Amino acid sequence: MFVIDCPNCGPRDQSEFVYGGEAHIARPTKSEDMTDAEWGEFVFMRTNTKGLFAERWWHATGCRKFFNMLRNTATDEIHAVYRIGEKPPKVDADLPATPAGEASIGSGNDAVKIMRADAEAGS
Amino acid sequence: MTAPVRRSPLAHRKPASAPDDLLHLSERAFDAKIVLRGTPDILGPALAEVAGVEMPEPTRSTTSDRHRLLWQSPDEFLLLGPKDTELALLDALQAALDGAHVQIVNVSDYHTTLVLAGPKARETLMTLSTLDLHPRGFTVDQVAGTTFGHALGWLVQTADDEAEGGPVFEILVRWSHADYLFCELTHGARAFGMPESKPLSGELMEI
Repeated sequence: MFVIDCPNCGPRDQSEFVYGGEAHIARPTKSEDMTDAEWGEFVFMRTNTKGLFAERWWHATGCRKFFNMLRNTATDEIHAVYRIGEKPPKVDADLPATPAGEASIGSGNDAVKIMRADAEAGS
Repeated sequence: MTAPVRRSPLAHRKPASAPDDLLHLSERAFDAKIVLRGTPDILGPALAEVAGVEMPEPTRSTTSDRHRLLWQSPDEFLLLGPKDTELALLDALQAALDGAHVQIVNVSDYHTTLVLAGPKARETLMTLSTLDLHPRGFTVDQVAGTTFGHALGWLVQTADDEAEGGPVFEILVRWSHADYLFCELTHGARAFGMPESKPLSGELMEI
């Protein structure tokens, strides 16, 4: 649980908010020309970033407005909150370091990855 | 003989009080409540004319002698007025805002008002809410929409902490959540000697 600084209401508990998924995904303008694969890409495919991630949040119990947030998904540190329609601000952050010093991608279980790398090298 | 046309959601509960005037909890049903959607520059002149209230700053409310205007979001405001004035208010606002890009909805029967007054009101609310309810964090005329237990509500402080009898908070809560919230508030205040609320009739609700 963490505190989110709503741009309209000020700092509130996370339980008042609803997660809105990845931000800055523009709806296609020429949808009639799109293939099913392109539709699937737009509807379902997300980056699943570990580290700094732009995402939408909705203040469900307060102002009931969407806003954007830059959050480190590994540490839950909130780097910036900005309004819908604005570009993500530049943040000066040491990323994607995690408290345990995990790898920047994957589960963080480095032992498994090292074993896989060895297996690939040997084959 | 007059027929009762409206029954408040807490008609079956008596107002509850803790000993030594530490806390008083009661319901004030049937206030006029009107939601206004629109930008403050369009709504401002009409509300000043009809209700005599200024537009509130974000998370604040303003009052006149009979009305209170709550900020709910940058383009949404809730006007409160005395009982049975909602239709007259609605007509006056619609006349004043004729043709403007606004929405005016009578929500008098959506919500009821719980009034929580007394020196222990803050501590009682703290048992149910995640808001910063320290006297420095939540001041008179401040407004916050949040959850109290499982119930959604709008909290507004209407009397200062220094006032006679302690601070007064009003919670605007959905009609159907009012019974739950009333019971939770009496339950949260049991440390101050508040008795558990028993309904005057009907089924006993155990929480």
